[in-house]
Formats: sequence, C-alpha cells, structure tokens
Amino acid sequence: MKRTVFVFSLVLALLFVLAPTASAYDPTLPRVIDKTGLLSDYEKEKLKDYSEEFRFDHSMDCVVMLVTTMGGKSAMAFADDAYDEGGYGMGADNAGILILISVGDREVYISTCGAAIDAISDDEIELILDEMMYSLSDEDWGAAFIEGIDAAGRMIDRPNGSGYGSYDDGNKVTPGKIAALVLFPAVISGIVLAVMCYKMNNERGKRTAADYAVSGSFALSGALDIFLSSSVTKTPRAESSSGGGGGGGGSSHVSSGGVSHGGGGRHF
Amino acid sequence: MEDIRNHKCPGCGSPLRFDAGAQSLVCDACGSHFDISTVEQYDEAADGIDGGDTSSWETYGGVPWEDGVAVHVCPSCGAEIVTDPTTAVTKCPYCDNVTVIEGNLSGVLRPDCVIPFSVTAEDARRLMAEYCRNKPLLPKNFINELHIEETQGLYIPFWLFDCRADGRATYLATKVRHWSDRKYDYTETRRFRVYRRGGMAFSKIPADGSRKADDTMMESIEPYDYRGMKEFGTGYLSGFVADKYDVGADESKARADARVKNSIEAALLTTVIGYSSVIPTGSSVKITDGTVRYAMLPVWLLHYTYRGERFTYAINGQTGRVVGKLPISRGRAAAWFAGIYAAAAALVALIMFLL
Repeated sequence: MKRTVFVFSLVLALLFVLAPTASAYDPTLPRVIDKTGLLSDYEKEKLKDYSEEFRFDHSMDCVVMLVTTMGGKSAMAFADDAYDEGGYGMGADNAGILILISVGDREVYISTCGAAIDAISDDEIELILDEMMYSLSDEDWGAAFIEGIDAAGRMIDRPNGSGYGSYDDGNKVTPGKIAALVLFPAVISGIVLAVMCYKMNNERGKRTAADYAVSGSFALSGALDIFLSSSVTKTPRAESSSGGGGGGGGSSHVSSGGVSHGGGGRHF
Repeated sequence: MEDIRNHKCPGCGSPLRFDAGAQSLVCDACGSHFDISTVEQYDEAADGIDGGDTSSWETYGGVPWEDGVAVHVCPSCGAEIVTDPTTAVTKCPYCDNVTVIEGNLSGVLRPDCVIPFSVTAEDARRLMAEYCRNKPLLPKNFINELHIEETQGLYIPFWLFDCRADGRATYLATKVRHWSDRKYDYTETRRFRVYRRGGMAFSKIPADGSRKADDTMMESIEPYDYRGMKEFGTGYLSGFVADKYDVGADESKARADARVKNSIEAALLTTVIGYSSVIPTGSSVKITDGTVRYAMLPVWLLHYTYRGERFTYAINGQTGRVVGKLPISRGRAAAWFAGIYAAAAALVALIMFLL
C-alpha cells in the first residue's frame, strides 16, 4: 500500500513539474478559418497540410484566417485576439503565427506569439508581406496564405541579423561578395607575409635604457592632478523594443488579453 | 576687483584673473576655476618644464694603452685592429678584406673592463645555423652556401654610462563616464592637468664607440650580462681581435641621453593611472652624476654576399643572441602569398555559402 502511494505521489509530482513545459497545442482546433467562403475545399486541405508541416518543422502553431470584415477592430487587435481567444500556440509561451487577410478592408496582418516574436524580425515580417503581395493583388487568397506560410518558415530558418533582402539573396553573387572574396584574402595574405618578412630581420634599435635601470631605484617625488573642466553630452536612445535591421527578433506589444505579440501588416 | 596676471592657466596656458567674488582664479579663455593654492602648487611644480633637458657627464680621461699589443690596419675600410702580439690577423672583421697590414699604435686608451667571450666559434656557427632554421622565406641554398667557418670574434669598444636621471612631465588626461536613462545616453568627460616628477638610476648603458660597427645592430644584440664583466687584461685578446674606438665618449653620450630620457618618460607615464586617456604635453629630464667607463664587449661578426647583396650578422659573444637581416626568396614569398590567399578565399567562400 505504501509503495502504491509512493508511486502515485511520484507520478503526481512529475506531472506537476512537467506541466508548465507541456505543449498547449490542441490538435482539434481549426487552423484554416475561412469566414468568407472564398477558399475552395482543395485550398483548405492544402493549407492544413502547410500548417501541419510548419508546426512539425518549427514547433510553432500556424493559423490562417480569411475574414470579410474585422468589426471595427484594427488588424493587429483582431489577429492577436483571434490567436489568444482561439487557444492557439505551442509550448509554454504559445509560440506560433496567425496570418489574417481581411477581404473587405483589403488588409493583411501577421501576428506572432511566443518564440515566433524573436524568430521573425520586423524586417522579416515585411519580407513575408512582400512575397504575399502579388497573390493578394490578384485576390488569390489561397496562394497568398501558402506564400506567407512558406516565407515565414524560411525566415525562421535563417539566422537573425542576416540583413534585409529576400531569402534567395544568400546565394546571389553581389559586387560586395566578389570584393570580399578578392580583397579579404589579399589583405590576410599580405599581413601574414608582412609578418613573415618582419621576422627575417631582427635588427631593432633600443629606444629606452630600461634594461639598465637600477632595480627599485625609481621613485616618484611629486604628483599633482588638477581638475580643469567637465562636459556632458547626451544622445537620444534608439527605440528599445524594435527589431531593427532584421536582427535580434521583432518588436512586440501586448494584446487585449494581456499576451505579448509581434507582427505587422499592410493594406493591399 | 583686482587682476592677477602672473599665474597661467594649467589647462590652456592663458593668464588667470582673480575673481574677488568667488575668491578663486579664473581663466577667461577656457572658463576654468582654480584655488590659488592649487595654481601656486602647479606653478612651482611645472616651473621651467619646457626649458629643455640637461645632462652632466664626467669627461673621460682614460689611461694610454702601453701593454704589448699589435695593431693592424685595414687598407680597405680603415679599421684599426688591436690584438695580442701572438694573434695573426689575416682578414678585416668589418669588411672581410683579406689584406691587413701592421700599423703603429697611437692615441689608444686602455679599456677599463671586458666581458670575455663565452660563445666559442663552434657555438657561433651552430647559433647562426639555428637562426636560419624555421625561416620559410629563406632561399633554400642560403644556409648551404653560408661560409660560417670564417666567423671572426671581435671585441668592440663600448662606452658604458652610469647616471641618475630626474624627470618631470605634464599630461592632459580625461576621465569618461557613461550612463543612460530611458530617453538618453549620457557621456561625461572630465579633463585634468596631470604633473609627475620622479627619478631613477641607470647603470652601464652601452653605446658602441666604433664608427664601423652599425649602431642599430649593436643595440640589437643587447643586453650583456654585466655579472660576467672583468677588469681588462690583454690575455682576453688572445685568439681574438679588438677594435680601436673612433667615436669618443662625448659623441656617444647623446645616444645614452636619448635612451635615459625615453626611459624616465615611460616610467613617469606608468604612474598616471585611472584615466580614460592621457596625452603627454611636456617633459624635461636632468641627468646628473654621469660617469663613463670604457669596455670591450665580445661580438662574433659574419659577412656573407648572396646574389650580389652583402649581409652582415652579429652574435653576442656572451649570450649568443644572433642579429641580422636574412635574404628573402621572391619565389618562396610568392608561393606563400598564393597559398595563404587560396586558403583565405576558400574560407570566405565557405562562410558565404553557409550564411
């Protein structure tokens, strides 16, 4: 009996310890929400697959939402609330993204939560939106969502701070890269060769007589430090929570539900 | 209000004015305020600091060299070589000229002290070979063609200077502090006039007394260990040759003065601590109690002509330190450059690929 109580207590303790880190992911929730009826069944199925794949690859939730109107709310508030109230997210920080397209307002918004805030910077949000714009202009909502999910996955994969530009720029040959490929090795080999040449001649005159100073003979007989003046300069600080330049994660705000979100959007 | 114009601002050097209201001295040029006692203290300390350096050395008298020694004169470079009568000199140690004639000894002072050779001719050859080792740019055939068996042991005349040096120096220093609040980053810069005074003693600063010996090369083989110094005797010349000095002590002391001045300035600078930046603005050094000794210090000299260029190497005859410029193979230098370039380019390409 004692042994049963001990095992039961141990299981309870383990559950208690593991509870905060357990995934909050609820697989029964809909990840493709179409309140307009504009998405075909085929598109919905395809988007579900994309969402599932995104979750599998990045351990983050992925929700797409197509609405006619946002009921007077801003796109940011609508997307954040939909994510929070829908109970989406993975892990203790409810990590995930929600891509909202409001057809009536012709507005798109990407809301990030938890680890996704740091994983996708403000500049990267803009890049994702850039990639969606062509399909949005064509009112091809399904394609826009797929491009958004695909681009968000790539942004999470790339290291933070890799700069502004599309993902494919990594393999693009630019004049800067050619210059780096030519100049950097030339500078390095020039420095190494200069050091090697320097070591071929050890004739160096002596500037001081430190080798001949009588040990312990140095004595300071006078010292005076006079304060002359002081000046203070001040420079304005950069915005503290901005992702800035694609590095260090995105900026964040708090939703009406008290949850931190990142993200960004635009009209199309 | 009374004007006092006989004090100068420690910050900018402009005349200071007495401000009766504040009971302090004010600089109209830079706006600084000082206590009268502080300025008086500074004036007393820095008085004459830019008036130049002074040095006081004894005049070296010396004792004429009357022992039984032989003098040889090189008709090529004019070097006058002194040996004991039994040592035959066939080659000039400075220019490698093979014709050396016997001459007359005149105006030669007997050295006060000598450091005997500790490094043998065999050691010198080994040290030279070691010096050429692990030099990837050295022409491959250089060491094979090096006729190091012709190494010549030579006592070179040195003047050894003992002195005491007292120095004063002024500096402009700053202390910089950073802090921030929600809106701004702040930087506070505080400027100070710093004054230091101190002294130290020096013993046996060497300066070679031979015009033919390259000064930079002779400084490069320093230091000698003076614990091995002996009172001079012609017996130490046996098997070696000695050069007759042709640069007097008075002429050499300028080099010793410069080294002493640099040393005392460096020592004073180490005491200016706790500042973000320190800029020396003036100094003066007074050298006193200067005494001079005449010494013979051992050097192995080696000459080598490689592809028309003449190379000279000196080996400290006591410590074995080898000094000299080695030839550089252009082919090897180009190969190393190309190899490093290729490796660095590959690394850059790999980093670009990964990013």
